[in-house]
Amino acid sequence: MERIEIEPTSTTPKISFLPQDGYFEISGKSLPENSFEFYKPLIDYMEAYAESPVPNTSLVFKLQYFNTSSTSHFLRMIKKFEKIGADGKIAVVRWFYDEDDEDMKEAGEDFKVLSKLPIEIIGSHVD
Amino acid sequence: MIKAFDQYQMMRNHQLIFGYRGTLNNELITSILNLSETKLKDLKTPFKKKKSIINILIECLQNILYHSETFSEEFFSGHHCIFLIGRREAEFFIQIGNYIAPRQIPDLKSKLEYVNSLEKEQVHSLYLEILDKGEISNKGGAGLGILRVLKDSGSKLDFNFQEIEENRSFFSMEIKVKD
Repeated sequence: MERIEIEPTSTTPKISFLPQDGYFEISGKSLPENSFEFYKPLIDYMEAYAESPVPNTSLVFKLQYFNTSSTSHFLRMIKKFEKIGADGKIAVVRWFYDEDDEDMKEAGEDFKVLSKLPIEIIGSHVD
Repeated sequence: MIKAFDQYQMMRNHQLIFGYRGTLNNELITSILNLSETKLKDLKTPFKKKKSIINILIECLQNILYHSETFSEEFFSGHHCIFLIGRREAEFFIQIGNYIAPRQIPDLKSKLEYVNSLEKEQVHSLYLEILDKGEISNKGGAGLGILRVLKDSGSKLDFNFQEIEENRSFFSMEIKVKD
């Protein structure tokens, strides 16, 4: 699979999907006007990747702001990787939040409630 | 004669920080968010409160873009709205208003009354329930936005509808963010 690297805009996040390394990162702001249009191809790509993943996969979120329609897509992304764990390989989610940002921490905890995938919630300084 | 002082006093009397009137698009929303963030930093607003206000603005302004009524007349097209932000003593308030079609009112009114009746924990569990169902459309997250506004505000929503003319009404809402 080809890697996907998309530069951030004022309303869409930076995307770095490196399938050979099993590394999928979404960072920055996610407020697309049409979140479906932005995320649908990425979710399809993740679904295809989950068919033959490398032994260790991580899905990394480093977000500052997001709208609620993006949240639904994040959950769909996470759920696409549940299959990897079920097939005996390793997939984890790393949800980074700025230490001052309780709201972002809670958003990560919400995904923990809704997904079977291991989700690490990590306080740090998001660049 | 230009009397900017009158406008200045009017905004001051209403405790307004800034406002915007006109049509909206995503680029304007981004600019409003940036301006709001800069202003909130300038006011030394605590991080948590600033984040809540920006989250509320994101949902409210994008909601206008998705759901408000547009009109086709030459001088009245696009998503016309008003947006104001101000501070009364210990609380910030955000006022938004936009035109809607009268036929949209009953549904919106009952949705807002319902979410307003929920306790804080119920707002969160309903949010998780809708998120889990994943009923998302091109227009947004099936009501997730308003629940997030409630969650971030921590207060009940204050809203009303005014009939402007036969086919046009105006929706107003005030959201408070307390300390």
